[in-house]
Amino acid sequence: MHELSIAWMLLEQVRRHTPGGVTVRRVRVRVGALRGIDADTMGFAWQAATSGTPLQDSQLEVETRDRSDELMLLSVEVEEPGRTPGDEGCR
Amino acid sequence: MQISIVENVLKLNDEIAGLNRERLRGAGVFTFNLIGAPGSGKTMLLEATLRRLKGRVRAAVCVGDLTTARDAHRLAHWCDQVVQVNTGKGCHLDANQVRQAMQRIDFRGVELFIIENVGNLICPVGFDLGQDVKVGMFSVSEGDDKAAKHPYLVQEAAVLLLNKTDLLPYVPFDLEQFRADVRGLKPRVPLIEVSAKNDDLAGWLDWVNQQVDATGRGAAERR
Repeated sequence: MHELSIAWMLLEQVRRHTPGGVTVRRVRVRVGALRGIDADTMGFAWQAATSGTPLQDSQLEVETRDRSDELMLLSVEVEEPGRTPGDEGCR
Repeated sequence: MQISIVENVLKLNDEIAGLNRERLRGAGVFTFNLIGAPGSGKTMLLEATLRRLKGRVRAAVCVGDLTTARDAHRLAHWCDQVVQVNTGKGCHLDANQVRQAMQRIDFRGVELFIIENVGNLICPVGFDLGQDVKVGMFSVSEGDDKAAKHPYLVQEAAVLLLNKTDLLPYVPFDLEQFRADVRGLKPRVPLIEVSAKNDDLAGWLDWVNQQVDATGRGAAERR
């Protein structure tokens, strides 16, 4: 179940990169096949790791890549207070 | 709003592992990270190894288990510097746990640092601890399909051990199939068959001695 310890590390990393007061909607990661990480298990581990934290409603999106051992946080999608998703550029 | 990042998730672990490696290499210490299933005989192998090296190679050990200090007590008979790490619910050691263990070891004169990982064929493979090499361990009683079922360990290991060869006459284990599976995954990896119980460790002890000598020579040349 290394997915869970990776989820904890990822949670800390996302927090470091996210400004205070925003709501995290989606976290995107890229995982190489050689890491031995199962995407479904990783999603489950993310739910467990974020449960009871401000990130508990966020979605983890896992992109896989063959013949690679990378494990990268790619991006975090956040919603700023007072704005709803999808209204980017409509101020 | 999307915040683009692109950062290694294991960045912190890998950075600490890098510091561990720098410190160990600087001290001329050869380090291996022993990875194998619970009950494969990791601790018994290390007991037998340390007993045979005693008085010839100065060693220190960091041993990881979820709980108890039983392994440390066993190994302390043969090595005066053994640190037990209890990982609680953690299924593998991480670089920071090893860093903390290293702070309790006096590396002056030490030539060999052994990290016995938590018994698990999967999770420990992905976490760099700062070792020179990973050593993968299987045993006859686990069944002959374990290498094929755990390709990441086979691919990551610099050397593989098959322990409990003394049980070959008593349990179903197709040695040729096991060897073929290993060769299929990593053609040139040394596969050393041992019986820790019977002290049948010749190839393994030769390998350890060669690595320790080469690391010591390399450190002496740099000085």
